Amino acid sequence: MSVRPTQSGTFTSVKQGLAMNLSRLIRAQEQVSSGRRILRASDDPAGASIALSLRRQQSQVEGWTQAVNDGRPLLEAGASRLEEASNLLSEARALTLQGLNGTLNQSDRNTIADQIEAIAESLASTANTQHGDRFLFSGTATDTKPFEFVGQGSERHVQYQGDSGSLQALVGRESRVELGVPGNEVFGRTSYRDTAYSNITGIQSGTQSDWGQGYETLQLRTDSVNGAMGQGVTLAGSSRDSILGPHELTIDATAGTIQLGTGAAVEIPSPLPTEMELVDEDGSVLVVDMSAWSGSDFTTTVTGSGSISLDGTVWTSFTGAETNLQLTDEDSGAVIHVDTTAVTRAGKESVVFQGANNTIDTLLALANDFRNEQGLSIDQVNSQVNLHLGELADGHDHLLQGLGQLGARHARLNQSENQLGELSLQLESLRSGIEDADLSEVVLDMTRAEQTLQVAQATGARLLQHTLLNYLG
Amino acid sequence: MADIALGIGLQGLLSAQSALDTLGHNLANANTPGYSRQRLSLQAQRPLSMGGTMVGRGVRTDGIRRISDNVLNRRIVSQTSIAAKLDAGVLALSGVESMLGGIGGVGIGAMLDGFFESVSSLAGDAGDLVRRNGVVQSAESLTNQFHQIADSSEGLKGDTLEQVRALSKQVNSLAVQVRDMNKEIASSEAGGGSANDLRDQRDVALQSLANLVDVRYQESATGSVTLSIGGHLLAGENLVQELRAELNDDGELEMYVGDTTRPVEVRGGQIGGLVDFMQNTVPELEARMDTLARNLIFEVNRAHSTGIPSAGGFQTLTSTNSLEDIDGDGQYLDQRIGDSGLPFDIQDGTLAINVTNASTGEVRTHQIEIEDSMSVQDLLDRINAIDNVAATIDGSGRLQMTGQNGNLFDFSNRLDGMPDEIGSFGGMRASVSSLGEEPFVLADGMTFDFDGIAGPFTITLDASDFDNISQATASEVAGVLSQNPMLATNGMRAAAVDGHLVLQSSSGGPTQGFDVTGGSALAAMGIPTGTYSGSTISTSVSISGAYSGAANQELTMRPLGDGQIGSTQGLQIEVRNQMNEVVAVLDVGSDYVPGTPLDLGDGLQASFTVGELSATDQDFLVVHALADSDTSDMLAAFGMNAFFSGSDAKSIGVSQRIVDDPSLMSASKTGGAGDNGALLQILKLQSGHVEGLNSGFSQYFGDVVGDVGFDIETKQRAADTERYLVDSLQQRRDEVSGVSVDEELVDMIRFEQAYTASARFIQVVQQITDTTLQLI
Repeated sequence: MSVRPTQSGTFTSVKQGLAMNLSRLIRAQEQVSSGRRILRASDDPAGASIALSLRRQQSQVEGWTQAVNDGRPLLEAGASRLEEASNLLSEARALTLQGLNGTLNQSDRNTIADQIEAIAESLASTANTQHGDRFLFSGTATDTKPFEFVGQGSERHVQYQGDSGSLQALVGRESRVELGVPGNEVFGRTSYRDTAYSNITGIQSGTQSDWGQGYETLQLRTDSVNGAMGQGVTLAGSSRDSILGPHELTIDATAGTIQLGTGAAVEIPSPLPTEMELVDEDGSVLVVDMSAWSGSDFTTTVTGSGSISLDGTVWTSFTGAETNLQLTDEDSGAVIHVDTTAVTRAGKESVVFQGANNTIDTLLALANDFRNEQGLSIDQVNSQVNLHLGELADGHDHLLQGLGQLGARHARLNQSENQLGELSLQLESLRSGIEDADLSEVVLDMTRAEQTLQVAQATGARLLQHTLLNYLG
Repeated sequence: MADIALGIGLQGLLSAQSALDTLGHNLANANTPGYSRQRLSLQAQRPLSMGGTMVGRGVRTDGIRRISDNVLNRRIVSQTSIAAKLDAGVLALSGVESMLGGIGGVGIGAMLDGFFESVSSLAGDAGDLVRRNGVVQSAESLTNQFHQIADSSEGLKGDTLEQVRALSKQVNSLAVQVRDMNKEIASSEAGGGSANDLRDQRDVALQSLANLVDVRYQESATGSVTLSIGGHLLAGENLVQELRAELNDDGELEMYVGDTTRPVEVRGGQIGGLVDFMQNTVPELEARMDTLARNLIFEVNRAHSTGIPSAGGFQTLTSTNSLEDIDGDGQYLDQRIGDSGLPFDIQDGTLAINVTNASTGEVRTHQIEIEDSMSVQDLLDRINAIDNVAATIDGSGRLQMTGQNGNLFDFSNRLDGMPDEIGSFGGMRASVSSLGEEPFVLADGMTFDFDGIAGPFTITLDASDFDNISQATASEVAGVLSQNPMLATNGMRAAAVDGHLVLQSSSGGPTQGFDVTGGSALAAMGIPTGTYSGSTISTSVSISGAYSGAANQELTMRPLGDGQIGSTQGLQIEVRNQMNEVVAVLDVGSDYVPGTPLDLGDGLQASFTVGELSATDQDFLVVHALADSDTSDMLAAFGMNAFFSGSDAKSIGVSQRIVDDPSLMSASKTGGAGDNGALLQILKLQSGHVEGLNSGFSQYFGDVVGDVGFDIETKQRAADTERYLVDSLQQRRDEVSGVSVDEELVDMIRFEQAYTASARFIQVVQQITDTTLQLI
């Protein structure tokens, strides 16, 4: 059938054409004014789905970036505190070396002890630094003060109250950075090596392994002294007696002196004393009654026997023949095995579980060494100080390792930040590519729609004017 | 002759007149919708036979015909239904699209991102109260958004129902019009004519009907049409039945015609589009939003419930979800927990409960087995078997747990740093453990023969003391032994540890000891006879590190010989996993420095202090390494320490106790106030795969939005195509039935000329007659 155009058909098609072109123009205008290609999901469902996912990723990247920014001040504060602590330890080391100088007198050493104790306190307060309201060195227990002083005098030490975890920042899907080092790791060490004694009484390690942490004090006491006496010389049985094991007692009548072991020969005074205190080369004491001395030479061996205790409560008597005597401290759980064969005197022996010490405690122990409340000889003091100095060096090493870890983590944060910055840019450009309008293209579309509309309007207007009526007279 | 000629002329005049009338009617109706142009049919009169010659008698009119194509009209009607359905669908879906929110800015997608962003921010400083408030606020915005969508979709359903009802009224009134016109057409055409204009109007009514509903029509011989929808008669010659929209018991929309009880399937027209929207799109959308909300609640709660608030464990905790009295007997305790109306499923699994002594800080970790089939009473019994924790079900069916005697509890997967509670591994007490693990195959009358400090004695087992003596548990055996006074008299005790029976002297030290001399139960339990004695020092085992395994693991340590840690040459400890595979052999002999951590694998280390281990005494220790401290999902199902309350898009909310006190938000997994382990677990959900959704949260919502978009796009495209088809059919109809003014004008000139010619002819005839008369 041939086409039979009608007026109403023409009107309808002109109207439809105009409407279609106009809506195309409006759509283009919408894109230009919003700058976005996808305004509703139905504009491009596949694109919209991708855009939503990209937005989610952007939000995640934003979260990770914030974690980096939140974490950095913590690491920086931690590092600067550790640098301070490192300086304190250097200072303590210098003071200690100064204290080892034999020309110092006790009052000089007391001054050094006070200074070292002050450093210990500064170190504790550095370790207890807060950033905001969070303690930097208490692991994840950020509301708990990590180090607290307990005990008095020579028993004074710190207790770690934090945990051994670390705050963590999520800086990528599977990437976590620890935001600190726990205080028990940087200020204390937990890897026990072996046991050392301060070498005062002659006690030695036994054959079996020990276990303990920090410092313990091993006490040896003299319970009784026996020996074959003669020439009117008797043992006074004084509580000051501190010899353990066999000691040689020599009276040289010609020189008028009496000597314990290889200690200083003491002139026997006149009148003859009932209590005469003899000190041997190790500082162990024997009191003899000289009142009935015959005036002749006399040589004998006196033997002190006593008991030993690690916790100060349970005393175990020993003969001096044990090579592997087991001692325990119920409170701390420490177990040591000692060899008593070389014991020569009673006294307090520092037991150092090497490698398992808190640096603040080490400083306190050094201060105690210098105070020398036991009245030890310089050599003995220095031997204790050297023992603790070694621990101090270990502690310092550990602190520097912690500093290194913080530095490495800081570097990781920086690296993450760079990566996240790049990722963020990539995501933004991807999202923009999908979601945002390409202005030049849209404007071109718009111009095209506009032109088509104008043409449609012009032709429509021409078409509609044509009717036979125009020519009927 | 003249009368014939005059007749011819008159008929010519009259027919031209009629033609001009019809033409005028056409021009007047050129813009009337549905109007079909009409044509006057002209025919030559039957000729007169005059002596064998046929003489023409002029023209005659044969009625006014309506130019229309019934097949085309029928196609327009059915096509209109299809296009209208799609148009209505697109319109309704656009409502959904704007309800879900745009691509950026608002909407669940952005709110989800906002929630995770606030959690991420809190993870940066887990103790910060401002950030905690931020999480609560963003979570509330998210839940509000869920509510808004749930409300909008309710509103959408209400609006759509109203719309369908209004459209049904239109259908009914059109049906009445059609019936009325049926009558008129039938009566006017009974005489044989054609009711042209009435038919046009009826066609318009039919098309309007088709726009509303997929109506089918059938024309009868009398010219009336019967209307039907989905096989149900809507209107006939005399009868009209009403189309109704009803909600069924499930709140679903159903359409009915007349009094039928069987719903009619409406497949087209605007009503068809809206019904499809109501029956499919909205419920599917609601189901998907519910699934999203449900999984969000469940997964976030799973992470949160096993976390610890900044202030430490819980003194008391009440579940947000409550049990229902399913069997209606007024009590909850006899019901299976998996079938007690909890909104989430409980799996067979393990729940860790850690009990912390608030004053000493000492933590005891416990694991209880939970089965979906166990009764509520069983669950309470298992919790109550743990020291210092009590559990009850309150009057409204909620689970309540309380820490007692100054103890706090939590459900985190923290490591038990000191796993050897009773000293079954190198303790100071004389000790022997069963090599076998429960269940033990025992029998009535089996015996244990011991020789303790008070002399030899025998304990005989009685089946009545066991649930099932051939499947005896370690704690049943320990209970039976402990109840016998001879045990205490002889300075002994019995305990169950991780499914093993442990016999010990009641105090430690080398002077303590007992003999196991025999008895028929020994073989079944794997306890050797022998003399067991205590020691002076106790091995203390500490476990450190962070477990990195993916699944929960039980590591069992057993010494491979007898000796002292750090001293005995070649002393080793074997570590086996749950599958009984050896995962590590630890050297703790003379080369071991006590206290040094040794690697157990998966990020865990164990260190041992000096002490005596004994393979002869069957020393053992089980270390529980937890990746997930609640594999039973019991906490999330009950809503214990929940972050979100509710179970779907309508009911989702932030747990009231957390809104009231954001410091109860459980960020920590270690108990440390600054730890953010639980938050990191929540953050994993942002992009991680959620089993219940088979994708991630944001991804799932993106899919919902994308699918609505796709739906709109495809429906819009189809609607455009169908609309184009309707338009081109209309165009065709216009071409056939439409009035062309030019055509009419040409005809007007033609008929005007015909009229003039006829008049002229009459004049000529008259002149001829006059001439003839003058001749007379």
